[in-house]
Amino acid sequence: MGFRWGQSGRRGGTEPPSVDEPARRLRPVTDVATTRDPDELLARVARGDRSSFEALYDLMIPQVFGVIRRVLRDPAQSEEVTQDVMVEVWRTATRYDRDRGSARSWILTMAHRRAVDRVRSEQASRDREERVSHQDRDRPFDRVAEQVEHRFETRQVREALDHLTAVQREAIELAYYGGNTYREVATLLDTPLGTVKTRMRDGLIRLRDAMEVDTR
Amino acid sequence: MSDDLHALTGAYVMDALDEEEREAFEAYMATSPATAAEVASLREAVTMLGTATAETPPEGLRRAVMDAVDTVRQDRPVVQPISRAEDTRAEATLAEPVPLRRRSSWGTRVALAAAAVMAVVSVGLGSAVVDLNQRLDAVEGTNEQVATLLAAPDAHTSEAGLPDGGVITALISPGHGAAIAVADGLPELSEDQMYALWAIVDDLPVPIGEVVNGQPLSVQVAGFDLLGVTVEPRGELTLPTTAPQVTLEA
Repeated sequence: MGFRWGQSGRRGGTEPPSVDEPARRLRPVTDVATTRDPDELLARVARGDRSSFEALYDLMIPQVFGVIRRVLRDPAQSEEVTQDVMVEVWRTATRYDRDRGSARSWILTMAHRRAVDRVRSEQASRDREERVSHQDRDRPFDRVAEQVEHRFETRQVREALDHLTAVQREAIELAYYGGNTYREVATLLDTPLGTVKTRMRDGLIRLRDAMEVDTR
Repeated sequence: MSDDLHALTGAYVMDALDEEEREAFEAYMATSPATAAEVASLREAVTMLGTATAETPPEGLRRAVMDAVDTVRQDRPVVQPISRAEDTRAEATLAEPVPLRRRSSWGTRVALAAAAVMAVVSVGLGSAVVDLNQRLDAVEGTNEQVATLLAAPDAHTSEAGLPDGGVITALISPGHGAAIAVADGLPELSEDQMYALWAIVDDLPVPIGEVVNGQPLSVQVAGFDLLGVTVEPRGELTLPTTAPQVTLEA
């Protein structure tokens, strides 16, 4: 029947059990959220655990809302998109694979993507309207230049950004916080596409390496 | 061309590609482990940029999200055969060792299964289960999910008696790696003992939980071969300490 008991049995749960833990009944449905590790919380959310979702929400919402608000600016729209993102987190937690990256990264990626999608779809409809009415459109650079102000508050980020050249930093700001495509960034900076691609990639590689040094 | 696409990793992780380019890049990334690995590492750097802009959202958002969530069913998890899952994982080779795929699916959908088993049990075991309605009420938003498991083409029920009395019944869908099991008439054990349910995959037991008469347990373990019940010291389950009282084939 093949029902052997392996010594190195792999558990279906998460951490190895602590031997001293007082008898704890394994129960279906309920699981008390006691951790503040987003990866673990998201794994519990995937099992339908509402209290873990609330804990995850409390942990992540300032970052999620912050990113979206940075990109969108408009508070009401930001709130709406934030709500959509958090509901999406709930809905698709079952698809999260922690081997592919942290929960924090997964959630913020989703938040940024949704914000950028909103910017672009709105811009597209505005462009259509403006073409119809033959009005001059806003010069995008003004909007972007305004958005780039007051960007990097935290010390950690500021320090990491010190590793970047000014042009790398500018390209990253315009793309990530401005919600621009690299083609738009190239236009705004009047710089060849290949150069912009390279600045973004090299800049992020430097940021990544700076973070690795920090956490070592 | 591929060099060109690889050079877009930075733009990609900042969502700075338009729709068409994004799709082309993702298609390329699926064929290039080096690109996928770079994307994964740059994502964490970008996450730091996102973390830096934290801002408190307006009051009321939390409530709105929680209310919304109450009406939204979670997606079904993606279940892949072990071998394929490990192939795809190799692309995104990161710092972490490759853990078990099935870990992620274990224990998911507990509520689903609980409701499903109640539905089955109400047919199969009839009066054996008390407080059925009450417990059904306790399980949220599960009708569709019940239907999903019941509708699985390979779903079958299986039942076996334990040597000292009692019966374990399960509705099993091998294809979904899912089952719901419920016991009836298990004799009482001493205070410090309990019945435990395990799913066996390739001879390795995965703990499912304590078996209590009339309380459904859900199993979500991709590719499990057997379900087994043992008697264990009360406490957290890691590995069985006794031989199985009974097994059910997937």
